[in-house]
Amino acid sequence: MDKVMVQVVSVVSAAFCLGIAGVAAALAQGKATASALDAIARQPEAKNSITQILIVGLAIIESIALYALLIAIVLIFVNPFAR
Amino acid sequence: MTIEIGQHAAWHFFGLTFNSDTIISSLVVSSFILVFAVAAKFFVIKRNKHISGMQAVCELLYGFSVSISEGVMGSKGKKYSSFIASLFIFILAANVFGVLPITEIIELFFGKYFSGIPKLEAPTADINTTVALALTVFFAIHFYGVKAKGISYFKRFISPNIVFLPLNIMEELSRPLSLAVRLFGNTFGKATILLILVSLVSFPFIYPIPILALGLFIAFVQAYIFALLTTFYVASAISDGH
Repeated sequence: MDKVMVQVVSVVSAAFCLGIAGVAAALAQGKATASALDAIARQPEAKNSITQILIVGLAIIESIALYALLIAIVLIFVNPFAR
Repeated sequence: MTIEIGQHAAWHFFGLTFNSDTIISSLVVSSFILVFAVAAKFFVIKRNKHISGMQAVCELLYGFSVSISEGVMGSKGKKYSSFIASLFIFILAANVFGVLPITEIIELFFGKYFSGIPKLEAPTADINTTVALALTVFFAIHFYGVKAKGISYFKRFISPNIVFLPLNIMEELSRPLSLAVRLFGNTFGKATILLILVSLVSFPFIYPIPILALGLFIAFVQAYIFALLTTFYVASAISDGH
């Protein structure tokens, strides 16, 4: 295929990749935070352990968006097909 | 203005490539930690009537970094707290090094005497550093697991059933990958946002400050998460059954 065409497709697909993953990760993080706030409001004495679990959960959710970021970086800067 | 991403000044020895800027910044961070630790030893051992500021800082840092492992594992975490606290302190110092504009200041004052001062990013903005840290954690988990439970440690790979062997192996392999990519992605993303913001205006002094503040916050949270996840992995490796 034409090299320019491959580059155009790579850039567009990198944007879509990061966009969709960002929407999903943001929704998931919002849901997790809302649930944790509910739990803290119901049981304020368990605040410390809930916060710890919340931070770990947010980190694991965030890695989804970061995998997408990695794929986008690979597509734009070190694309094996556009060489 | 061109923005270069993922480009490192490289040394070539023996047919291998070394990213010189990452090595230099890691050495700077390590020597800073070493100097701080030696200074802390001299400041803290002297027991005065009133606590000095340096001692308060040292005690806060030590207490927090040890409480990461001991808060999760309890008294069992004492054996592993030195490993996890070192990881936390190194990653925190490395991330904070990326926020400080050290090379920019050197270039501002001494730029007319020297040319070609390398731009030092955080060591953790290079994926080689984060992969090395994650592999250390990966091998440490299995080492601690075998040390604590002997040969019965490997039962966890066939834990409910032999059918789950590929799933368990996949889970073990995804841990270092996610650790490395998370730390790299956050640090690198912050650096890239800063680079793009600075390249937009001709006089970039005040306007990257919010991103720098966010960078300090990210630096702390990512170091904490790395240490906390390591603690969870070690705790699951040394625990009996699920």
